Amino acid sequence: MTPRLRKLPAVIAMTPTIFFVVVVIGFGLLWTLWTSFTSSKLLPNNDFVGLAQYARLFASDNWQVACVNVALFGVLFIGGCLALGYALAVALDQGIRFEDAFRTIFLMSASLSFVVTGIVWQWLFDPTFGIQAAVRDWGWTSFRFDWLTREETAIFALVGAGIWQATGMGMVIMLAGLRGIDQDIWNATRIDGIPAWRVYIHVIPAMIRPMIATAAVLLSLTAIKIYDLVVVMTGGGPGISTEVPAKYVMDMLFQRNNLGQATAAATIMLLAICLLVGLPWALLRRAK
Amino acid sequence: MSMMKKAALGGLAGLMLSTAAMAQDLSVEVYTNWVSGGESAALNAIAQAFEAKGGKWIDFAVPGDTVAPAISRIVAGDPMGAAKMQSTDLDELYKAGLLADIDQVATDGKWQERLPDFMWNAITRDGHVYGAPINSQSEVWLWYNKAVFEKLGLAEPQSYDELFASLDKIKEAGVIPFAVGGQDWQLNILFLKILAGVAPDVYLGLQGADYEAAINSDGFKQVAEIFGRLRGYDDEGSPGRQWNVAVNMVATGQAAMMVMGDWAKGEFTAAGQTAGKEYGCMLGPQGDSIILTGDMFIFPKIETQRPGQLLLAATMLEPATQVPFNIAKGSMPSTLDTDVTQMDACTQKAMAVLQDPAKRLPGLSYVMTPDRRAAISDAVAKYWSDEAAGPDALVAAMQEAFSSTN
Repeated sequence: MTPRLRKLPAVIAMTPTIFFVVVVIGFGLLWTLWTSFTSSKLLPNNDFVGLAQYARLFASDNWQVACVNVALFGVLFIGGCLALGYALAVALDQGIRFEDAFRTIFLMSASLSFVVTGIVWQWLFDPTFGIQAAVRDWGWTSFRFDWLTREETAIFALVGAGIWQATGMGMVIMLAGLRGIDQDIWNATRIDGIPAWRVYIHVIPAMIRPMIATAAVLLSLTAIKIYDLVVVMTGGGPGISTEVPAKYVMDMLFQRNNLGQATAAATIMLLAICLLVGLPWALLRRAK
Repeated sequence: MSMMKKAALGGLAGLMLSTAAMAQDLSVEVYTNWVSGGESAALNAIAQAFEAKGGKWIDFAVPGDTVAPAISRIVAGDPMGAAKMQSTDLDELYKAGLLADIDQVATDGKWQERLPDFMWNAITRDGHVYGAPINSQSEVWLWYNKAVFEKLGLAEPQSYDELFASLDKIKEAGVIPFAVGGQDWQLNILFLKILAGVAPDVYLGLQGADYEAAINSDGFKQVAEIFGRLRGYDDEGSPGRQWNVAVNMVATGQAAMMVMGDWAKGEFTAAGQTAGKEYGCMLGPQGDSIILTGDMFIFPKIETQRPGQLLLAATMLEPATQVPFNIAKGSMPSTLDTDVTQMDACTQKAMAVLQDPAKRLPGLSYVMTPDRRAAISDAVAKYWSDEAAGPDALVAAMQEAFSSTN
């Protein structure tokens, strides 16, 4: 077989994929971009209005709140998942008994959908029904746990539920990194008399940087497209205090029949995702 | 090929043949997002009346509160024969020339005399009729628990001052005075209810070109103040609460009263209660003008289903369809001359008031784009959840909501 013939099955196998990527995703992207420059409402039209949709978008209260929220959510959620995930990974790395069982338990929440997580945490956070009501029934009557129903704190309730859900995934990725550390490193630090906790804080993170970057990128994708958790837990409320960009797009698209706004917001989200995914990898490459 | 697949393919082919054969017949494919128990029972009432006249009903129901599935099919040139929408969705489809008129049906059925004026205007464009309004829903009901009122010796309040006096007494007695579902659309219903009662002229003013005058009026500020005062009478679990949960709080006596559209009756009925016995419905405390919203069907251009479309449109507004449909749906007939003696006490009360044309206030869905409506509910919900905000904050937010949308 000539080399070209040998490649033929691969070409045949890939052609439909390439076709769909180009046509469906490529065309979809271009159409979205174009529509964001038009005055489209319920039906798409070709009435060019320049940057008017973007002007309205950035002047909108909902969008501003949404951007602040997703940034806050992103930083706390990714930071929380990485820190907690690393701590759990280190704990599991101590050669403890039943490690497999623990790993499965910690990872279990990641197999749930955000809708399930959202409902469970909504119940837990509900002041008349969840943790607050339970603790008050036990006799501590001034106990307050009403994050979800207050404007200033509702976003942190979302962060909490998000971290509970996604920590396991960060843990598994970083645990894989820890398993890849050469035993010689440990021997060397032991000879130098460096306590293990200092090695875990100062030495190991630099060595498993690719794993941390992978986990961070995966988590940041979850964070930027966060939608289901918000819809289930707060619906964007109280008021508009937990609006997020993905919800803005969906509301504009399906409730408010405003294609122009929806596509403008979606375009900005796409730009943000490109930056977020590109940045860690670029930094990593430079570090090498 | 497995037997299952063969059978399925055979069935599919059969289905296609039969639809092709029916094409000249009276078949109509109908889009709705009515999938819950009561809703599909209501839909069945139409389908049965339609099929009794020889029509063939093809169901296209997609759950979710959006018209997007229907729109994408209509735009793609594969329309269904009828679709449930709101009149503000009608505009763009009409301008794009995608809708079929039902002029003859409307003339034969004397729709112009039988429907409220605003509803007639909402379905007509340039002298042609494009929609069949299937129901009216009043969104101004104050529901209350009669047992709680009796125990505390309270009568139906006749003004907002009396209402707040009652609310204070209820609070002292340790009952939640006001059950609130703290979602934007529910808060919006509460706000608009107060507006329609206290300042109906402002409510109508918001729908016109000079909305700024309405927003800056004293009436608006007074309503914002009353609405804001109510924040002190809900319970801490209200943010994000579903409407049916709030209704149940009143039904069980956990809370004394609440405001919701007439679909709340469904929940009381499910709890085994009857209007006027265990629970009361009132249009006040101040003013009894009624905000009417409702659903309508539009008929996209599709020649093969044209005969069916006309039959379906005619069937929809007949009293024999309106009464069973609206009993199942928990709403009122859109045709105000329909005999409602078979229906519940609240519907009869509302229908009596609605005989006076001045009491009929068009719901925002007849006159405003969904974009602006959503901006209004955002402003209202934001005002509600910020307990420190005064009436001026709502005035400013409302102005912003109007100026950013059209």
